[in-house]
Amino acid sequence: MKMKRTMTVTVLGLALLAFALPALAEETVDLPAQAERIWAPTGDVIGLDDHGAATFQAKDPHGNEAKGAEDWQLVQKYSGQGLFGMFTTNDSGANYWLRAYGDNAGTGGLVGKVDMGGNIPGRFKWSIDYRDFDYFYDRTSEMRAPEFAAPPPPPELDGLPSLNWRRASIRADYRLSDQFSLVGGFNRKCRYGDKGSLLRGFGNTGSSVPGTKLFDTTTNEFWGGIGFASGSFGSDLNVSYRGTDGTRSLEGRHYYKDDQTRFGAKLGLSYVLSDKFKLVGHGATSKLENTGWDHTGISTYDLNGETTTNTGQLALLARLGKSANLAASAKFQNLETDARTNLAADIRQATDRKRDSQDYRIGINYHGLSKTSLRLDYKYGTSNLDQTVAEGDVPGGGQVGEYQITNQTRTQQDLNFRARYRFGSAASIKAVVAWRNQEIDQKDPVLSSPGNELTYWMGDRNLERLRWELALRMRFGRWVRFDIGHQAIDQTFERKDFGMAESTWKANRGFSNLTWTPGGGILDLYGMFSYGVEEYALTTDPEPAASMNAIAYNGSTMRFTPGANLRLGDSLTLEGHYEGVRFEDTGNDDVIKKLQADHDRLRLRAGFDITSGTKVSASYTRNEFDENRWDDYIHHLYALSVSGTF
Amino acid sequence: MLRLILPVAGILLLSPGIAAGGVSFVDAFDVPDGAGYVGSETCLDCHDDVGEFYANSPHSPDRGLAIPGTGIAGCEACHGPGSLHVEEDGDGFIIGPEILAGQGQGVKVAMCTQCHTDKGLEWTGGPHAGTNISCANCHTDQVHFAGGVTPVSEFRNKGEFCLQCHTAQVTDFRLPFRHRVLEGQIDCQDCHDPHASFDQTAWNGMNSVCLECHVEMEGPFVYEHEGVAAEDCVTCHRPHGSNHDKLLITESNSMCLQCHFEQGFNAGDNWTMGSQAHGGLLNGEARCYDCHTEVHGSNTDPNFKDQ
Repeated sequence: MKMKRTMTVTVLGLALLAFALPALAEETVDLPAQAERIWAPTGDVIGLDDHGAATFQAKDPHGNEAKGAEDWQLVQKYSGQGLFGMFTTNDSGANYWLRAYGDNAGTGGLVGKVDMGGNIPGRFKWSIDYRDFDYFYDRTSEMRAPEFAAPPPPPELDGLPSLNWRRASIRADYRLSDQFSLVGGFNRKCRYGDKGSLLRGFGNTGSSVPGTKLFDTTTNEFWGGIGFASGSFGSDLNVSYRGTDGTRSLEGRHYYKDDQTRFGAKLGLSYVLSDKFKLVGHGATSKLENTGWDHTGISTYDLNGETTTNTGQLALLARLGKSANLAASAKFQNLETDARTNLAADIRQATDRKRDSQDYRIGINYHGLSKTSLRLDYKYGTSNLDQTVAEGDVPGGGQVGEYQITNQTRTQQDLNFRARYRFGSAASIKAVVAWRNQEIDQKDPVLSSPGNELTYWMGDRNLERLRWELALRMRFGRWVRFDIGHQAIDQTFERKDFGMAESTWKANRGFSNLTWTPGGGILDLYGMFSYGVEEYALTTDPEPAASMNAIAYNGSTMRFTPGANLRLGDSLTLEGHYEGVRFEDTGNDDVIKKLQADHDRLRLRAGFDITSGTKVSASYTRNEFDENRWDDYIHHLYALSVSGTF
Repeated sequence: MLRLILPVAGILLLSPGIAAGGVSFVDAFDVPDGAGYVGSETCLDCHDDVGEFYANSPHSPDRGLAIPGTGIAGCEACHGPGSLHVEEDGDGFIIGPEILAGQGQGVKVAMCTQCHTDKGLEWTGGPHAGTNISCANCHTDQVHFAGGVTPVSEFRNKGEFCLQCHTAQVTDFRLPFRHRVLEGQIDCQDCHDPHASFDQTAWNGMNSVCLECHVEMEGPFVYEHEGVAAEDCVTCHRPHGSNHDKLLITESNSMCLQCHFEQGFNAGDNWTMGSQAHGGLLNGEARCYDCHTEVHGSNTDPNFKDQ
């Protein structure tokens, strides 16, 4: 009897263990190992300890600098970079941290980011974040035509568009009491420089190099809020002001002066009705103004535009039984725009636009089935547009000109279904199906002069789109991950007022990621293989003429990244990484030359621990890009770094 | 089994948001009669290994933090009253790591949101609600240890953390045109709130995320492009990454023709759009954007041309 009881307890125990272990294991498999950081800068340090690193880099470039800079953010032959991170707690329990990263590898100036902050847990929190980066642009990327034969590059390709982004944010949170809290902050975004454009300009087609857009703008935003929570009731009120000032230009021909302001206020409310139901409400209002100007190359037009938006939303969140959540909401929005374009005292363009919209949503989560989670969302939305545009003022104004009145009703339904099933702790499958139906009823325009339409008229139309996604995620032991998936879109668009013109868009994207990270001890081997395809075809009835420009795309991207780490003794580490990427586009290759690009990177790195907290690292990187259009280059990059933890 | 405080079925009713309403996390468990609170100092008498780090934790007992409205503080705020656990020399009668690990998302999140009430309000209905992800999956180590430089706070590249699960986006961010997340220049959190209030884009609109940086696209414009104003930026752009310049969903002309294809005017090469013949242009290697440069909206031209 005693043995039987023991066996029963043992069996029960094993059964419990069998249930408990996957539960515990899921805690770890949900978040696999930290993503590989094989291209992290040499000397980069991540960890819980305070740390710092300084790195010197030398680059030996061959070939087209422009494309190289875009991909590597490297322009300087010699450059340095530094990294610093620290965290401290003082005697009173307040925490402080400071983290910084910077380099001058781009245009030569120092770029990077700084993040500092502190908190008194439960009472006060502050942070300051500053980022300064250059974005480089390749203007040749979208060019693809039979005459673009290898080898590159054409002489027109000059300069390197680069746009500098600077962002700063300050935020402070203060909890006054258990009921009240204050929050406030400041954001600043600056853009300066030029970026590549798709524009080649009037008459410049074919092999002409695209132009650039110039930016010199600054956006400042101040915001603040107060929160109140008591028992079942919670609320927050936030107000904000955002101002943007500056100039932009398009290929040195069309200039824009931005003088944009936005005032906004948001109110959030929540109330717990019972242990199963909760009400959430939102209300928001904003006023957006732009009083800048447009210089079109001939004339300068003064702008005076204003948009007022009011939004309200009410939602009910419910727990249905023990395995289902339900969310239902209704949203109402009213948007009004008045905008004028003046040439001196004359009103040249004007609009009076009202768009009212409503949408109703219901969504349900269900996780009552073992290892399964399901989610179904449905949304029904309608909107109505009443718009008058005029060359001159709109009717009722002082300088009424030619005008066009448009009335449009849109109805849209979205049905989304998501399902995930876990095969134990090692695998899961996810499926997403999204269906959209859009009906747009556009009344015949009311014209001041019949036959003289001011704006492009689309007419009645109907869109039907089915999108689906299937992804399988597998874990083989602790070290191997395999993700494979397929995404597809099947869309039909009908224009009823154009002889039922119909276009069909079918897009297919496939992806697979195989990641392996076995190792431990002396040798670690890891890597990833991924393959993705993207197809796009626009079929019309009747078929377009064969000589038309490309309207088909068939791209594939293959990536292979093996790597190895070898530890020799207690002090020496050797690392080797390779990354090979091949990209092809064979769409319309009977008319247009097939695009093919190969990108190969190799990195060898050695690290030596001078002391227990100090390390010196040296690396060699070879970066080659070979494309059958215009870009072809090789970079050799040498780096020496000293890093330490303290 | 009696030595374990077992969760009851009712715990599944405990949503994070409801916890934010003031319900104690511990109430989700069947706490035996007679169990009382002993204070963290008593806990740390035995669990000194935790105490060494706990002193610098945001949750350190020295900071006097308590669950709002309850006075329950320190270890027992999450692990429940410990008197019986002490009486039994540490054998059972406590909500230990193994019991917590076996709980569903609702309970795990409720443990944190009983104090972090603002996150509780945000979490319900957010993108991670209803999944198997809870606070500790991302805020690893921040419960007991100093929370300065944990992976989720790693600032060089916060995106790496999110991409552990969002593997499809890893592929996107490696496409030739992308927002430079893997390069550390922009973070997932610049656009997404992982805690997320009730569908953050539902009431502001999808475009509001994009327009925080690309402010000039917001206008107001005299002539607005319906594809921007009445629909979303993602109608034409794939924000994570694309094989096409400007993050377009496909090669530029093909994208425009999805909507702007007109049958009946499609005689041979002489395509007409609106009132303008386009066949000669499109046959001549022209891109729609070569002429229609103001495609997001214009104050000067109803057809979004550069004039």
